[in-house]
Amino acid sequence: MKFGVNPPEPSNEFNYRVGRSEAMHEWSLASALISALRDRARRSGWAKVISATVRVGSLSMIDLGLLGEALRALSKSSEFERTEFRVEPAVTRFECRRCGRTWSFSEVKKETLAAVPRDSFVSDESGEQDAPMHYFPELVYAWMKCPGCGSKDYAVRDATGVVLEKVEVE
Amino acid sequence: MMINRVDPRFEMATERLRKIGRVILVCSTKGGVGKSTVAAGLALGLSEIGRKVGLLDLDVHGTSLGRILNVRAPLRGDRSGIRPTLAQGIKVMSVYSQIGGEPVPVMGSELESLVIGLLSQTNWGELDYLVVDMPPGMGGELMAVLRVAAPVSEALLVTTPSKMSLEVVRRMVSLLKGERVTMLGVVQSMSYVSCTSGEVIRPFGRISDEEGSALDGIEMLAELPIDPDLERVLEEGLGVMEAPLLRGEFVKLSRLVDEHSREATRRRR
Repeated sequence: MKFGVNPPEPSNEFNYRVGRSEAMHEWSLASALISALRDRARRSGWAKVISATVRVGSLSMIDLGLLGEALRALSKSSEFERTEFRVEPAVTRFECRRCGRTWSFSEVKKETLAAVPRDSFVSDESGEQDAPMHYFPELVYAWMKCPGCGSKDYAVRDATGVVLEKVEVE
Repeated sequence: MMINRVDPRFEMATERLRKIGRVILVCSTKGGVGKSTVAAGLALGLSEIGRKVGLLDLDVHGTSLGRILNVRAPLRGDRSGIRPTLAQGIKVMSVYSQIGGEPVPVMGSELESLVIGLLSQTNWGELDYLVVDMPPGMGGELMAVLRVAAPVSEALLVTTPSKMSLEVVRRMVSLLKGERVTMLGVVQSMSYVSCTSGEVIRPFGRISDEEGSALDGIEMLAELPIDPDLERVLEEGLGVMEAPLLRGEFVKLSRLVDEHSREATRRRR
């Protein structure tokens, strides 16, 4: 399998993890992505999947490299062994319904993560921790406010989670 | 080729539901009718009669299960997903563990996405029943959970016995039946107060069997009393099954729900 990861822009957008966890979420997502691709291929009658593009919203704090590794490992010895998985980052953007301000998560990540109590983080067996938004991006509403007016009345305009977006098939 | 975006969490949620016998949605038409107390009592009652039970809190805006069951422990997980918290013999998942007292005004498609997230990330393992504490009404949370769980879902409606609530209950029954959810029955909560003199006072009136049967044959499964000790019991962290007037009612309700659910499963086969 070929594998490509485009570097995220801006470069610090994806780096929110406290410590280094076992990438447990990346592995379960990769497994589900492959199952979803298999299901779609079977229902659509695709003989061969040449490439599959996975889009990852920055709010989900997915480690793109680890997601790619997991896709590569899990597709080994399967019908997708030669499929090129492209993992593409997407910056999660928000728009305030009160003042109209738009922003990306990276602009407020420091104060948002500082507002999350440590016991709200999810621990793995090694004791490393991930922010709650890694699993449930929508919980950002608990701690993030509009940087313009301080309201929590905002909408996600683009890219929260992980989606299979594009395939090239034969 | 561009395809409709595929969210892998639907696949994860479907996979998890394969290990769960039935999903029981504890719904109410209005807030403040005791739905979360009933959901907790039902889950604990089913556990007491030997069933493997999980309890999922989807009432994100009004989450109270965490307090009812005294669960505010940090969540842990592994590559199989997030482990629910063990409380009083059942597995519990509530965003209360993470948000505590913070308001989370998430809405619309993001709220539905959060529901799918909770269904996909929580590793329940094998369960006989997943009891779901739904938010009041017929909003996005209900439709989101039905999107993945409708084929294995059954509904228990909780209402106060006010006649004013009947019309709304009727609408909810109509919606759930239309979505092919099996109706287990209706629980009338806060139905009466038993005085030491022996007098029974019904402050909100009563839905009669005739009025109940007008609900398209939905059975009235329980009339729960107002238990003046409930608040004290919860404050002391003892759990809803320690409320003296409710405990027996919850066990009876759980046996009835278990029978109805098994019967519905037999009929579907």
